[in-house]
Amino acid sequence: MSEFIQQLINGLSLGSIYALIALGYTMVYGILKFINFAHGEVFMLGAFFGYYLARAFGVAEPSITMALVILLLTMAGTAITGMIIEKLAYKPLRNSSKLTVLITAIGVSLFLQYTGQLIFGADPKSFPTIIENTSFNILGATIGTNQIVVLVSAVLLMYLLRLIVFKTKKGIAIRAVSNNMTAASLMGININNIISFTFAIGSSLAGAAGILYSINYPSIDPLMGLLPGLKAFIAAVLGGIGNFPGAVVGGVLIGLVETFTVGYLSPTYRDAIAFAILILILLVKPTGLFGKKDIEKV
Amino acid sequence: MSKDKLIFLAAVAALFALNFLSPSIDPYYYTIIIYIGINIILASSLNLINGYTGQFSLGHAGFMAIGAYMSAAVSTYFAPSFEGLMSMGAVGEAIVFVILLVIAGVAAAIAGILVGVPSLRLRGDYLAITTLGFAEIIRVIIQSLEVVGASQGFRGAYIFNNGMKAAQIPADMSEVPNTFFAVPKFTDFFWTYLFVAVIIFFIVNLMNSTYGRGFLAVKDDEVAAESMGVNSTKFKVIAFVSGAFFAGIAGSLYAHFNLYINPEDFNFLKSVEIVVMVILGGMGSLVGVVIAAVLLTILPELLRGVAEYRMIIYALLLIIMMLTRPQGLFGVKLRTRKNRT
Amino acid sequence: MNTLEINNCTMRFGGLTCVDKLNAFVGENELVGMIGPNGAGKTTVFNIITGVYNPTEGDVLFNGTSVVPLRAYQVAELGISRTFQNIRLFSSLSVRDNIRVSFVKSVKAGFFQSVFNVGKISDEEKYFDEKTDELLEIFGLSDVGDEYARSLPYGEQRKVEIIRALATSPKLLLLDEPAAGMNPTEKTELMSLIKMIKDKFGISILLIEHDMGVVMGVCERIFVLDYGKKIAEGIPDHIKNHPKVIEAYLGETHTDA
Repeated sequence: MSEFIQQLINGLSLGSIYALIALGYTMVYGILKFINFAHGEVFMLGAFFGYYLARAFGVAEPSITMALVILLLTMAGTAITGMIIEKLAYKPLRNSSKLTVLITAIGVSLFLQYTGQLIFGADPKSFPTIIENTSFNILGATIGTNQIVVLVSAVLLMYLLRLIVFKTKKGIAIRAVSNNMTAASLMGININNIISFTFAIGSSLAGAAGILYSINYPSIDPLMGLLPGLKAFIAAVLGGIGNFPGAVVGGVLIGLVETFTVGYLSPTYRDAIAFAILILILLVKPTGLFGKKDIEKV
Repeated sequence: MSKDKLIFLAAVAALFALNFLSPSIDPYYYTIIIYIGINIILASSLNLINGYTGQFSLGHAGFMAIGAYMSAAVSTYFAPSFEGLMSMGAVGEAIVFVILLVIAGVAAAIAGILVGVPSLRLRGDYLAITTLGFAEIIRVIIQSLEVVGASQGFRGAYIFNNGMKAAQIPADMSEVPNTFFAVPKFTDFFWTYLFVAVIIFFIVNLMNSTYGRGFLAVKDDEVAAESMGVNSTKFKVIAFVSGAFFAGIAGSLYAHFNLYINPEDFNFLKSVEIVVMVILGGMGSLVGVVIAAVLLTILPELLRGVAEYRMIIYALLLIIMMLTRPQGLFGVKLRTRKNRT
Repeated sequence: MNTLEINNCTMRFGGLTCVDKLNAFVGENELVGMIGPNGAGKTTVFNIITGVYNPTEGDVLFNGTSVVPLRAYQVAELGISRTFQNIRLFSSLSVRDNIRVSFVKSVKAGFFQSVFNVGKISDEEKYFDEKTDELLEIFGLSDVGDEYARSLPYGEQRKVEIIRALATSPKLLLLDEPAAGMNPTEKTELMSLIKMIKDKFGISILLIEHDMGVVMGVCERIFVLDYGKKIAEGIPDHIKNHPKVIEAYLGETHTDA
């Protein structure tokens, strides 16, 4: 029983990180209808921004304030990075075929990974302790402050996103553009601004996820974004791509399945299981759990 | 006999003759020449899927892995059965290798059906991720298979005197006498370029036939193609299966040249490398893809001193290519479709 | 037996009914027009006939066989071919190759025969080549056979689409607004072309067209759709003066809207 609860807690905290990344995928897919393959690398950059910020501040004594400052600065940093990527690589391809954009996105992803290796070094780095870690016992399972921080921050960030998307003008514009770009543009919405803003929001969430991930798994390296990125994408597909609550549910589910696979089956299948879920969902219900069907016009 | 078949036979004869020169070539250059050939086969076979039929597979290394591992495993675990043929000299060895190549190709082709059929409902980015997922699953499975050395890689099989077989000597068998059968070296210049010739012959004939128009039509406009009586499902599966078949052959050639294979040889980056060749050469351009395969095999060798830049250069090639010349160096311009709502 | 029979067909997308209990037919070697205002559901009817959509209710019979369970390519194999409202030529192929796509379904040689070029294959290819030449000749497009289909002027692209459809040797040809974007001279030429196709190939034709001159000029019988329902049917003269048709086109107040 305690083993089960332990896995449940681990799964929830990993899953909420996937959910944060998945939200970025879903937002971009909703508007531009393409998979931003480089999103996992923005997550990786988040971890490295956090690493360098923490070192610059010289966190001798972990404190909540310091952690919060690092988190916010990192989110701002990745938001800007996301906007730059969009401007340089994707914007010129607004009218290109989907394949062209997809290939470009793969290119951007590889570029960030290997430039990262060049700049940060290929060897894993140890992420500094920015939150003091104490453990509690709940029903025989151990829950660390780390995990609590991850869960609480993830929920707060999602709530914040919900406020932005549903209560602000920009948020309404995002939804309008993802519903019908041409109509939104005719209504006077500046499409380029909204796309840029979407990338900023999605990337800041990925940056935050990078920090939260590193708090729990403190070994970071430039290739660390690939698998969490793919898994988060699978989470977005599982929930129904373009659907916000779907991305969250998908993320949590993928996180749970992964930790339970590792706990009860074998760590070997840790990464394969997500892909198996993807193939299954695409075969059974390609629109995902909460997606709706598109009809192709002939 | 038709002209193209004569050209093909002449090419095979020339390869056979040229093969006698191989001992005089510096081993370093010889290795590069073989890798060029293997990469041409890989890139051309992916071109069948991505270029001519307009799908997007991102897991070609998975098919290659299946071919490599099948061929290597059969050649070692069943080595005693092949001994009769092997003792017959060059002809016997050739027969054994052909058997292995066919097994490798067919195994990969079966995987091609498994991937191709479910992928029919998917397009573009979804298909890319799914094929990537399949390749990763294949790699993970190989990584956990002790019979082929799991993550240690595979060099050959031990056959113990009590009849047991394994890729490594288990602790409790260390006392039992055994014979080690290493992965045999079969691949040489002749075999590699024989299959380069075969795949080129295959693609040229297919794409010049009326049949071949079916692939291009499916790529351009699936709805219109279906309305003209083209069974798009059939063409997509054929593309996947024949592409996978040749990737399996390439895997076998690789295994019997390198004599050591590791699951990491067939990871996501290998798939990306093949994709880059197809995109750089131009999707659907036979000559372009062959040239790109040659260039991209030589490039890392030239960059040996600055190896860390290799992937960055690949990445930049992809991005710049897409921004300036999405049809590739030699490709036909892709039709761009405006975002429709 | 009628070549095509549409029996009580309904097509709904979510809550939207595009085609509403439609009954219609096309006789053997008959040239029928289908008209109606924009959004009346005409192209949807084509998509149902050709197997792109499955109707929500009802049946479509082609020479007595239901096409509803068939996929688009099977419908084409059976003998129904079409053109598209927004021209859908294969953009990376030449005019000839666009036409050759239509022969793919008649290739007798198997996959391996095609690849290894054995046996009768070259005779077959030669035959397809001759057929292509013949069709290009009939439509006066022999000089542009090797151009990229998408590089031709609009009117010629429409013609290539018709040739491509004819190359599948259909018994029923569906033309979706063939006169769209044509100038008056081209339209006159198109009318004689359509009549010629009907006589020379002996096939039935169902035509969607907005240009009343063309429709009234070539069709033997016309039916009119409005909001997915058939509101009138008859010979051109009857349709011209039908009050419901005039109402639908001039947009008088709809009682049921």
